[in-house]
Amino acid sequence: MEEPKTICFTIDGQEAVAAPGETVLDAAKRLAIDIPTLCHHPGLEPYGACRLCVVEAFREEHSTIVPSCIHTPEDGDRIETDSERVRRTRKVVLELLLARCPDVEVLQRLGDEYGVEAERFPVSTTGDWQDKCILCGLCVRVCSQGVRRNAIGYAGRGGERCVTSPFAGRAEACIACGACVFVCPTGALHVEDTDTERVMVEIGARLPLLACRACGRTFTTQASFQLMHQRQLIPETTLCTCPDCRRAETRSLAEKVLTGQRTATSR
Amino acid sequence: MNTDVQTRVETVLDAAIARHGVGASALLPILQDLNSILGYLSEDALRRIADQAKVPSAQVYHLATFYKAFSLKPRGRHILKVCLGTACHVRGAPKVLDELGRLLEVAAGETTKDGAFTLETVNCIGACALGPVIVIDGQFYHAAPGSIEGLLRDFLAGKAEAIPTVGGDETVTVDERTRIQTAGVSVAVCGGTGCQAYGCEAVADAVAAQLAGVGLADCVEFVKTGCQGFCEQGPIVVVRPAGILYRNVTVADVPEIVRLTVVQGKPVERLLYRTADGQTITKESAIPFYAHQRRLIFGDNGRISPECIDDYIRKCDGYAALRKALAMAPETVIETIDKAGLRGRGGGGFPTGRKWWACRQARGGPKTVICNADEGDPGAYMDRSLLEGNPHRVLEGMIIGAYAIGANQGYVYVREEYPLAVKHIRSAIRQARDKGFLGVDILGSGLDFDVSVNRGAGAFVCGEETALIASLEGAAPEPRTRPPYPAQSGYKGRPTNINNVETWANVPVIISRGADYYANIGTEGSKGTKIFSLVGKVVNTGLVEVPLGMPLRNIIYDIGGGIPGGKEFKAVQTGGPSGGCLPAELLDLPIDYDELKKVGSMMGSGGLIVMDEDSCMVDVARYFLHFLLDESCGKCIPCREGLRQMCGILDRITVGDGAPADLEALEELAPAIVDGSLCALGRTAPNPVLSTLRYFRDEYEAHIREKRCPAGVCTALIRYDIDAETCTGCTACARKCPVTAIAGERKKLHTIDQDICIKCGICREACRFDAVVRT
Ligand SMILES: Cc1cc2nc3c(=O)[nH]c(=O)nc-3n(C[C@H](O)[C@H](O)[C@H](O)COP(=O)(O)O)c2cc1C
Ligand code: SF4
Ligand code: SF4
Ligand code: SF4
Ligand code: FES
Ligand code: FES
Ligand code: FES
Repeated sequence: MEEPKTICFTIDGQEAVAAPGETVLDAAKRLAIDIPTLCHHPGLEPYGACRLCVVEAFREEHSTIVPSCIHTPEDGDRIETDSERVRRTRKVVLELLLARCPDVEVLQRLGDEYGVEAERFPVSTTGDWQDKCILCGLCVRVCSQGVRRNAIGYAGRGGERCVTSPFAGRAEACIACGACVFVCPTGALHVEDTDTERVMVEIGARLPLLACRACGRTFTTQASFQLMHQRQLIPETTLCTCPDCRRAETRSLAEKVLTGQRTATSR
Repeated sequence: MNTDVQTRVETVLDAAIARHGVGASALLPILQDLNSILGYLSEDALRRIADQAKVPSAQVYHLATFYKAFSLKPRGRHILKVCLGTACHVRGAPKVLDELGRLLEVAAGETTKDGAFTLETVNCIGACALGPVIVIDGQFYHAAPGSIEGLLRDFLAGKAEAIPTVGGDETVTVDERTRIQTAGVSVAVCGGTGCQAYGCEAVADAVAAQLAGVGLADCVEFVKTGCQGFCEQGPIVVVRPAGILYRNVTVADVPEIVRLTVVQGKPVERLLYRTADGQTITKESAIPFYAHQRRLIFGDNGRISPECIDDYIRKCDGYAALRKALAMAPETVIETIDKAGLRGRGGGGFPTGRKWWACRQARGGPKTVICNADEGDPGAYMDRSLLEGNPHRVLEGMIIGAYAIGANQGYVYVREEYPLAVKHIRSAIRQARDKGFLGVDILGSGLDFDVSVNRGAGAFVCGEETALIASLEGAAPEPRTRPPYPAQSGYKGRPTNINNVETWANVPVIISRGADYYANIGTEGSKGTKIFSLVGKVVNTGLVEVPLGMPLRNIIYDIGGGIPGGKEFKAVQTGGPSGGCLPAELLDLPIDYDELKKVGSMMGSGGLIVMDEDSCMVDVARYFLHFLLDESCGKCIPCREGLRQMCGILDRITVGDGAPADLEALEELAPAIVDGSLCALGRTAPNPVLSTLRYFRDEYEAHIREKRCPAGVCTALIRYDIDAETCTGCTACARKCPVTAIAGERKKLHTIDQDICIKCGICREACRFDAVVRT
């Protein structure tokens, strides 16, 4: 095997290094250079959809605009994260997004940063929850790559593309784990708990809740519990304890350990 | 749900799974089987597919809604598709769609109340020379605006196919027979898609029957060929060795052709090609359309039967290039291709030799080669014609490529609108296997290689190589960022080499004739010949093959015969939907990869759509942008949202609501879309807008400032009136008006009610006195 070689290049004039396969975004983070992203999540495969993270990559005289969340640098590359061309591209991307989702805070904030003035493009909202969805695909990816349920996906193509449950009905494979709500950058997705059920509002799933074995409060769905259990990720007792009680139990365990009543590994 | 229906779904699904297996890569073929057999994909069917093929239903639902070929609603007994491809568009397809919608009282995508017809649209079916074209239940028809009602009536009346007539009592003398035998007479009837629309099947049957009837079946060779390129003049019949070409042949003409030409060697005058000034031309090679061409790749189409490998071997020295290549080192094969200067014919123009090297040197395996026959550019149909008319040449190219690269598996990805191409390449593969050109240890060389055929399902973006690979894998056909390039990690992560149909077809020619021969044709940076699809407003439409570097003017005027009807040339659109529109000032541009790029267009797959004074350039830009928005995968924001805004702006301009700031907005959006988009669809999508703004800005200005459409296309900006002086009251216009907007008594002045008028312009064509004026 050859030695994996470190790649040396520059970002905004600073010396940067990347291991093979590492992206410009990874390297920039280490240098504390801020690059805005919308469709990126370190735990998920990069997707390259929002194009907000674009940077200008110079190789000799020639330069191209590339997405930093996917682009892997080569030796000697010169990367500019805040060039005129980069700012211009990001600004148009934000203008376009604001025409689609005018009420999303993170977009408004970024828009201000990039000098987006009063909307130049007519707002094309539809009046449903999709008005907050930028189609970054984080929810779809976390559900398939993280939770491995594939409960939600897309429909259509081009201007008609949208995030949806299959057949635009109830997402049958959904376990209402809430991961999609958690990763959504725009707050388009919501979860609501009733006394007994967890409702995934936009995805159309309702699942019975599980009560904490210690305090009796509901905190996760039975389906999520079962999945975690099947995958043996966490011991059953820990799983069916709500986070508050779990913290309380850990605290009391810690106290006991500290006061010498128990060893940490004995249960 | 009706249990009969359920059982039927089950049966069809079981059969599909038995054929294609389960898992993601079987998903698309399964969906295609069910959609075509059951007519549509019900939710129940889709759920069962997900369940039994073991694919998440979210993925099944995405594919079912992504590909245009799938219907999620039940469809009518007859499927009527209107081609809205570019060639058809400039020849009036939107009017045809309007007219059909009105007649059937449905919009596109809907089914008539009685369940008889479903009206659909399609982006090019590869019969562009005949445009505008409609397809009813798989049969092609030329549909001139204004003639639709009659066409539908004939169709419903089931007007019988003409039956071949056989002149039974004709005899052939011994002398004649000897002459025929020594001369080696053959009759070639074009069986290509274009000619089929004109009824060539019946002509071909009639020729075969007539030859048999006069006892010549054993000594005259009868070939039903693939497309010969001159489709608009179809059905085409060529009698060799004299090389006499007949066009617009009907069944009734067949006995005469056999009697006079085959038996006596004389031409049938009235079937010969006629020039604009009425001169007849006997020989195929003397017809200007052919005389200026150089048919290195395409020429054999007119001589062979595409479903007969022996024809290919005997007449085209078929598979000799393969033998020659197998005797060379793989590296030498690549060097030869590289030295010849072959560049990819699929659009990008990337040097083929270099691409092969990259794949050969890539680590990992088994390596894969793919033939990209998705031919998405509306208005271009050379790939279709090559696959239909000479599939073995493409296949031979692929086998040589596989040897050079070291690949073991091949795929041909054909768009779903091309059933005949699928049939012919499939039969070619079977025959090649029988002869030992495919399979294990090919011709004793140690190469193991086989090829299978996959069909697309109506998505332009699938022509993009990474999307095509995703489609083959059964994933949503969304492009992904390169690098890694397919050569490093392609189909299922394997090193993959993907080339266009025409690129593959060039390979055997280069190997046979040598790199130097090939490199001598063309220009400095663009070698060899290229097949162009010359369509739109030009006298001779069809496929033309010329050396790269020929000026546009020679193609359009010498080969194409100029603009019909005494109209003025306005623009030629090159490079497919994301190409550009070039004005008259650029007619002397030598056509090659680099020259086209310099002037803001591109080669694309070789569509040349000629437009005359009746085409509105803003409308053309709007047409392409809507096409691209509709065909975009929708994944990335600059493409999806940027094109959406561009379409909105162009829509506003064409209805008269444009403002001067709109042009600025277009010009600011363009670079961001070019820079920001993920794949070349988005990266090139602003071209139609930029090139029309560059060369035809005055037309934009007229729409915006004067609220006027100079070409008279944008219906919101025009009106039709009847001139009181010239109107004779003949009633012709009133009888033709589809919405009865015209009132007036016989021999009295007629008037148009502007509130009812839909601005179809049929009245203007109907009036013999030019009394209907458009302003
Ligand atoms: C949107 C889009 C559509 C494309 N469609 C086709 C096509 O229909 N046929 C084709 O051969 N190449 C098409 N291409 C180009 C392919 O991505 C690829 O470059 C080509 O198949 C490589 O073959 P070549 O090197 O022989 O040209 C398309 C590219 C894009 C971006
Ligand atoms: S809540 Fe449902 S849709 Fe969202 S990630 Fe979890 S399983 Fe998937
Ligand atoms: S719902 Fe949220 S996470 Fe999902 S695609 Fe839309 S914006 Fe992204
Ligand atoms: S540029 Fe268009 S077609 Fe290409 S990935 Fe982006 S959205 Fe899809
Ligand atoms: S974060 Fe890189 S494209 Fe969205
Ligand atoms: S057949 Fe209509 S454009 Fe090709
Ligand atoms: S189909 Fe017959 S010449 Fe093209």
